[in-house]
Formats: sequence, structure tokens, C-alpha cells
Amino acid sequence: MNNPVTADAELEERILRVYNDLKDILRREDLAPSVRANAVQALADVSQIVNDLALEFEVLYDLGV
Amino acid sequence: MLSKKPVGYWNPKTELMPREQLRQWQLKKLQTVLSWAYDRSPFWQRKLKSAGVHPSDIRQFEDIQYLPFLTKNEILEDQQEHPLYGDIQSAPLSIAMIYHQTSGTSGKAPVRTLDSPRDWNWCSSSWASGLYAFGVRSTDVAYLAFGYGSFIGFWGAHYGLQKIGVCTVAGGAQSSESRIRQMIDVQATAVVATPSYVIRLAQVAEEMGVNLARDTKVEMILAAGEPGANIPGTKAMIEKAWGAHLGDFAGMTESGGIAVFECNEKPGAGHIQEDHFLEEVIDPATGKWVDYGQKGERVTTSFGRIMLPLIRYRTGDLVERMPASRCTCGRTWDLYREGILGRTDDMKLIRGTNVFPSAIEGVVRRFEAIREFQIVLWKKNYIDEVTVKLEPLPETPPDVQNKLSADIGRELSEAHEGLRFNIEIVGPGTLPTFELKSKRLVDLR
Repeated sequence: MNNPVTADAELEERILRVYNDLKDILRREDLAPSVRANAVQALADVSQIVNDLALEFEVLYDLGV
Repeated sequence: MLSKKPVGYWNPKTELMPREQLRQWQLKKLQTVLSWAYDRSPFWQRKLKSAGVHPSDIRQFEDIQYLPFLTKNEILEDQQEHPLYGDIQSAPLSIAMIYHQTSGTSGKAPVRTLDSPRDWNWCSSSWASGLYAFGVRSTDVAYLAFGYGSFIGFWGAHYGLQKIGVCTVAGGAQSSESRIRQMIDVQATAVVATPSYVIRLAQVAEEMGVNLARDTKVEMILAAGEPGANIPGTKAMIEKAWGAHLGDFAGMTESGGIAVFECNEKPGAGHIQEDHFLEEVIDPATGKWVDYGQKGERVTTSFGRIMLPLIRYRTGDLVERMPASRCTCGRTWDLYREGILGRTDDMKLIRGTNVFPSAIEGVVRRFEAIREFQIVLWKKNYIDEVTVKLEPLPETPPDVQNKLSADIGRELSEAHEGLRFNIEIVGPGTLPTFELKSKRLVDLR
């Protein structure tokens, strides 16, 4: 989107880091069921934050989200 | 006098976004959804190829007009040819976490929908955004008076309320009397139901000797599922009976979430959730965009539910779009005057005059002595006739009934280019009442 980074730049960067970390975690195939299930829910939540902040919009079905 | 609900934005980043930036954000989302649909949904690949359009052709906002419309019949046929979910589905069943279907009130097979964890989270977020705008806060206790079946109904509202932090009370399978007693017992401050059922609850409460405005703590009624909550006469009647603000919210099973909501300013219109949906208003006959202030058919593209990509979906809803500036709340999201006005296929042509059930309701609900009504279309010597059956409150004296009959008949005629309406007064308890979507039109022709 190349959305301008606002006065909350640091906050938005931290949220994006969490978002990308969760995606990386869910790409692993050695996750215990509880870890995967909760990481899926966490990414569903964080993806809504990056969507609401107009930072990123992606389809996440390949990660089971 | 109702006290005003608090002002606030659930997500100021997009609710206050300048419109040109909002358009670009919508375009980015549309391109993402379209590319995914083309790559992963055989239905959409066939459909776009036959229309001669490739996702890469959509470079600017106006290019959306090159995309073909999607209809409910196409989805139904696809799901029958490729059971259960059709090859319109763009992701496997294995990642779905919830199933819903349309209510089936049209008598046809239902449309089946699936949501992934991300999609369902989005659905509740879109509800949260609208509910917060109306004034719902984490201190509220919300009573949901619906059946919790496979119809999507108020499932999204349930999770949207919880997302705000509201304490939800599921008023599932029980009688209206039990629900009224329970909403008093739990000290509910908000009630969620269809407009028809809200009216029904008020009638039942009166029979129980309960004064809803005095005996409950309800401050807000959150209504969806059918037009009514934004029809001025209906709104006034419900707000008086409950002593509470009535908010209008509109969504549909096919798209998930809510696309239209009323903010706390109650401007007689509903805001369009323009960060979650791309909404167009078209002339149903030509498919071309109509201007602000002209009635047309609502066409929606959902950015939330992508398992069933809903792109340029013809909803059949009749709407009239207004610029965002017509509301004082500050949101940059456009509005639909009086929310969803009705269904384009609700319109009946009677002796050359267009008649909409919602317009008839708008007249009848101005008369507080009318408890329920029904519209019957029939033929007399091959000529269309319309009869409105009126059920007054039981204690209404005969002379008042006669005056009601004359006054309502005259006002209906004045509102419909002089068309003559037959008025029939019926006895108490004669007409049906409704818990979900009402069916007040009977076509015998």
C-alpha cells in the first residue's frame, strides 16, 4: 500500500513485526497442535489490526488462517 | 427525551480517511481479492475469462466497471453442480471454522458459506465497528433475542459485541415472555433483534404488564435482518415503546459482516463500511452507476469473506446513496438514506403505480393504534387490487377504528399518486407476528 507511516510509526512497525513473525511461525511444520491453533487465532487477530491500520491486506488461507 | 449516546470511532485510521486515499485502499484490496479469486477459484477464472477481463486489467478505481456482475442464482447453480460449496470456493474446507447459510425465505435452496479464522474475525470486526459507532461500549450488557441456528442472523453481532468487550447474553430457544423476563433479570442495556421481533416483544411485554421503558435498563436496540429500523414511523414507534435508541444495521449472509450501520448522530441514514466493502449503486435495468440521490440496486464487493469471493454481487437491495458530508459525525464513509429501502423485487406494479411494502409500512407505523398489518395483492375482474389489513390494539373503539381506516387509506393514496387502497380492519390476534424476517406481503394474483 505504501501507506505513509504516521506519528505512530514505531507502534505500526512493531505490529508489522509481530504480524510477520506469526506468519513465519505458521510456515513451520513442526508446531504442536496447541501452538498452531493459538498462532492461527493470533494471526487472525493481528491481521485485522494491520488491515484496520491500512498497513497490509493479504489472503492468509495458505497458512490456515 | 432519550439521552445522546457517546461519540467515538472504532478505527479512526480508516473511518476518517480522506476519500481519495480510501479509494486507493479499496483498489488495493479489490486487486488482492480479484487475483486470489482468479488463481484459486475455477468459477471465477471461467467467469473472468468469458468476460475478457484479467485481474491485471484493473489498474484504477473506475476499472471495476469492466468486471462482470455476480448473481445469487449463479452461486446457487454452482453449488448445485459442485456440491456442497461450489467451485467458486477459493480455499479448502479444512481451513473453515464456521458454516452458515441463507435463511431460505425465498423458498429456494440456501446459499452455503464458509469462513476461515481470519474471515470470521473480520466479520465480527465489521460488526464491532458499526456497534461502537452507535454507542455500544464495554460496560454494556447485550441481550441477543434470536435462535442461534445455521442462518447467520446475529452470530456476527454476538462476536462483534464480545470484541468490544460487551457481556453477551444468548437468548436462544425460549418464548418471548421468557426473553423479556431474562433481559430484565440480567439488566440488559442493549437488545439485538429484527425490527419485527422488537415490535412483537413490545406487544408481549404490554400483555405481561411490563413497561419496557420503565421496567428495563435497555438504552439501545440494535436491529438488523430487514428494513424497518430506519423507516421514520417504525423507528419512532419502537423508540417510544422501549424508551431506547433504535439503531439500524444491515448485512447479508453471502458477504458476511455488516455493510451499513447507523452512527450515534442518527442522521436518518446508514454509513457504508467502505474499508470492508466496495459498494456501488446501479440502475437495475442498465447496470450503469447512478448518481447520489438516485435510487438503485446495491452491488457489493466483500473484502472480508474471500473463501467465497463476492465480487460485484447484485444484492437486490434498493438504496439511495448520499455523500458522507450529510452526517455530522465526521466519518468520510458515504451513506444510504434510510438504510436499505427494500428489495428491488419487492416493488409491485399496481395499476401503473410502483408500490413498495416499506413505503406502506412508513405510513401505517405513523398510527400508534395499529398493532400489526398485512398487504394483500389480488385481482378483481382481471384488475390488480391492493388491500391493507389492519389489526388495531384490542381496546380501540369502533368509531376510532373507522377513523383509522379512513385516515390510513387516504394517506396511503396520497403517498402513491392517488392509487386507491382497500382497507380492512381485522380482529385482535388475526395477523401473524414474526421472530426473524417478516412476511407482510401476500400476493394472490
